[in-house]
Amino acid sequence: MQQVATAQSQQYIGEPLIAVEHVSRVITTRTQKTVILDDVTFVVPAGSLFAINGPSGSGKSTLLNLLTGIDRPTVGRVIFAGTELQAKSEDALARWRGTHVGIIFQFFQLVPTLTAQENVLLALELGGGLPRSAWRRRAQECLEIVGLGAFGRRLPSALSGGQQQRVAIARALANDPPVLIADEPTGNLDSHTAAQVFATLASLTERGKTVVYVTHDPRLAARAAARIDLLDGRIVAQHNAGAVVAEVQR
Amino acid sequence: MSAGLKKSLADVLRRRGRTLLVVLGIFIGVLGLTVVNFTEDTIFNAFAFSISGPQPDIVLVVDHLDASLLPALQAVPGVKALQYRTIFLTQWRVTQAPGTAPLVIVSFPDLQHTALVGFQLTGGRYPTAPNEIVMDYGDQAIQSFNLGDPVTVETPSGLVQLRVVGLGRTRGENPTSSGRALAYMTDAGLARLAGVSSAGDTAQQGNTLLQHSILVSITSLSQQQAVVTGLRGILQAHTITVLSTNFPDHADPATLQAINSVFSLLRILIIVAVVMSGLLILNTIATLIAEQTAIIGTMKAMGGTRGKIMRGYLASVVIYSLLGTLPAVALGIAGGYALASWLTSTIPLDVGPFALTPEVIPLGLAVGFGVPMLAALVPLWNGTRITVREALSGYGVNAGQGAGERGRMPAWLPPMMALGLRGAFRKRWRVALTLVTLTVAGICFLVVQTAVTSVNYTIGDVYGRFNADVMAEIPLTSLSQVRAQLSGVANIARIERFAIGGSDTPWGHLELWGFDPDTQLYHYQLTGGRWLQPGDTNVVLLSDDAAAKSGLHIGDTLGVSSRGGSAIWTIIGTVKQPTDNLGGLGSAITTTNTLDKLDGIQASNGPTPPDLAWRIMVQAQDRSPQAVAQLTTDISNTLNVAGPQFTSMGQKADTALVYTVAAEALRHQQQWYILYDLLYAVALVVGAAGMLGLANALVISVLERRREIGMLRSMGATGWRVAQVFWTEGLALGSIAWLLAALLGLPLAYGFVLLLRQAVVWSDFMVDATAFIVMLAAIVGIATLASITPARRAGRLHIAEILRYE
Repeated sequence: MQQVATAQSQQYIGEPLIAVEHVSRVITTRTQKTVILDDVTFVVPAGSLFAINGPSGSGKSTLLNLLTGIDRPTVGRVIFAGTELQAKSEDALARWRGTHVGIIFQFFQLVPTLTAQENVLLALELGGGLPRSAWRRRAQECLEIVGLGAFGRRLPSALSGGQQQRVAIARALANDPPVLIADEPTGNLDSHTAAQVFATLASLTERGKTVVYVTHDPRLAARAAARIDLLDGRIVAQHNAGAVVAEVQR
Repeated sequence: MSAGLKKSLADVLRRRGRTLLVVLGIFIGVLGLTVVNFTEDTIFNAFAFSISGPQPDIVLVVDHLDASLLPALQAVPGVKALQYRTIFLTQWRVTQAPGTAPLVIVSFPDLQHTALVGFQLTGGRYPTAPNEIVMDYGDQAIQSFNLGDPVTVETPSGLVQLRVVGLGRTRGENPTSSGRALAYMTDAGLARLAGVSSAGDTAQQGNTLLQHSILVSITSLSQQQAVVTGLRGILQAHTITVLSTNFPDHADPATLQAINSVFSLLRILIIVAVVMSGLLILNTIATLIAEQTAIIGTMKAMGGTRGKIMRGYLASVVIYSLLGTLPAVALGIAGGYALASWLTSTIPLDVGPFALTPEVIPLGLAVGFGVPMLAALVPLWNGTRITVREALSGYGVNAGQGAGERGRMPAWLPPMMALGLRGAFRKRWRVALTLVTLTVAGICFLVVQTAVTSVNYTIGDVYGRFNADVMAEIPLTSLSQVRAQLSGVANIARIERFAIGGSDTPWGHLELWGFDPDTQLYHYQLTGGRWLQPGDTNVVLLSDDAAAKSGLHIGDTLGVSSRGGSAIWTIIGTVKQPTDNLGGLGSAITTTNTLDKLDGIQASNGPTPPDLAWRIMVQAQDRSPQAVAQLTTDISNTLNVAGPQFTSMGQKADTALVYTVAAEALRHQQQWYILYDLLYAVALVVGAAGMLGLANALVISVLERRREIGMLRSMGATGWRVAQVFWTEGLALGSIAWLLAALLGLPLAYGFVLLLRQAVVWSDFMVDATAFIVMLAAIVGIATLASITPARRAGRLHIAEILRYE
């Protein structure tokens, strides 16, 4: 079962999975124009642990939203495994996310009225990639991957912060997406728990997953196999990301 | 159960108070609609059954029957159909205390040909052997039984066991409402029970256990008296003694029409309640969506499409609907049948066995599921349109525009109060929805209160002009005789006679009152023309409402008809005399003798005395309630020296029925209580919907203004101060709704009373000033109650929790 589940991930390994080409994001109001991202270009290699690093306000979360199709660029393209996301409708993007991207949020965003296992089941139900008969087994597998096999019947309120974040990782894994995208996944955790959660995330690359995470912690960013550093909406440094680095104004 | 469905269920169960009110809203809306529809259908069917064949216009109770006389009796001019009937009054041994129930066993010469009583076999077969009995379906309410079961009855020779072979029903008879069981046997079987050789021939044997009647339907009401005379002549010639002559009441189509009108008016209010339930759902789903913006964003991020997410929330709506609708339809049908049984017993009509009308259940289900579903679509469509980015930014729902220049508050207003007032008007659509909900609740209350005050005042006024304390229906006699009979009774100040009757007119049924011109116990209130004078005949005073409805004026003539024939009366004046007759034209007053003549009331032996009396009113010297109660008992004991007699099958007693005027007025008012209860029930539903609507609006406001609350708390605002902001918001909305309801409610209440006046009963438009105060208090109360939860929630929020959102 696990072999079948990871088959989708394996096909992308080694190739550039996500290509971001000259992407800008500008928010225009009646009185002013704010550039959030300015001509950003990079690739995310398949199967890599990829970090988007930068201080608050650098445009990290906006970039993450663009990668998952949650937001659309003002200029430029985001190409995921050869498919341009911008061309898809909202519902088509939602369906696409269900099978291609697993998202992990800083504040977990678990449904408080559902148990850990049911939260994972909900992702399976929404994603629709597996037959219904396989859902429960798959949910249990995902919880075991993150080390919470015995916690499936607990409500989020009965779990610690780290455990909740690991349930969120299990949920992101449910539909076996090739990419997991995490927005400050350890930002709401103490250092010890953060290390455990990060280790769990990083280990997923061994299962063929591409893990993209956003952080403002340079130490955490340094642990990535590939990374870009953002400042004021522009890439100011990169490592193994094929990025065009902007000239820093001093 | 799938995780999605479990989430839908959890959404319903998590906020139990809100769920309870939403379910209650749906429940009462559907219940009201089902009760109204089912009752109306049942009454309509009962009426259709009651007019499905001829009914007896005259019932002659005789000492025995003679089958050979049938052809001669049927040949009397004016007779349309004629039938013999024999009744045996006994006690049925039942298991419930006190162990017996009164049982009327009826026999006809041929049970299969009983067109005049409308006997209908509904199950089993007709009795053939003397020990076989057909029970009325309604008897099962007294004691349950099945076909083939034995029933035990009391007879002069001891207990007799009979076997149930069939179930049946009779037009106009309903054991469920009368509490008196009804059954059918062969003539031979009945004779055996009574211990005589043949059912028809009992006079010679001196048997009084059997009552024999001749039921007659006539071709025209005006021939009633002539037919009675003709029949009596033949019977007397054959030594058959007529013990009494009765004229059974028939179902009045005008009454039925009025009841239908009541239901139509109730349906209007029920539809308002259903719409309010819809608004409630709309508000609830809007709140749910606002509460779960982040969850919606997460689901979208996980691959949930708008359709899938909407289906999940619609599942919650279906759960609300299931919880509210199913019991409402079931109880509505049961309640509708009970209400129909009660209403038909007052008309009188035979409600018939319980029969489900096909459209009631689908209609109830359609409303119970359809309205919430439709109402939920709007907020769901808008709420699920949100993008993941917006949803997860912490302020998924647009926080709205600031009040700007237009919304700037006066400088003297305390800042916290200004904050509450500004908060109330941040979202125009929500303000509009909340104000509509609250205003409709207020209007509904005002309309109901005004309608109840108006009707109750009018009904209370029916006996308002009587200066008497006790009334009595007495066997036909003369006033002087009654006065002589009651001369020994203490505490009597004055005795007068009066009469009550009725006539069908082209404009509806006219209630007729007869008084002597010199009456002192009826204080007439002339609004035009003159009062009755000694020697007046064939003159009448119309009530204002009768004059208005008919367009007749003083000096016009009015054609009236009753059992005694018809007459042309001249209108000599108009009076204020309300009536509580459903759907009637109104009332009119004439002299007692004129009314008696129209009703064909005359002495059966010898000349009719000029002071013929069959109803009297008595004024007490000591008019305290205790003294009047004692007087009532004394009059009853004096007039009923022979003791009470058996009455059955619609026949009037030959005994005096004595009651206080206050009790009679109260009885008339009490007949309307069910209407008041129905109206108040609907107003309550609408009020509850209004309260929840406001509570939901405030909950959403709290959710949207978490950051603002966090700021206030960080600046030192206590939980109570924060709560004050939301209470102010609730009060501001409530006060505007009160003002709108007061302005719009009065003309609408007047319109509702006009509708009642036209279709149900004439009533004056009476505004109860306290209604406005009650409405204001209710709205302040509702606003306070509705503000409590969101205000407490706002007050309890932790600053760190709120402000950590980006």
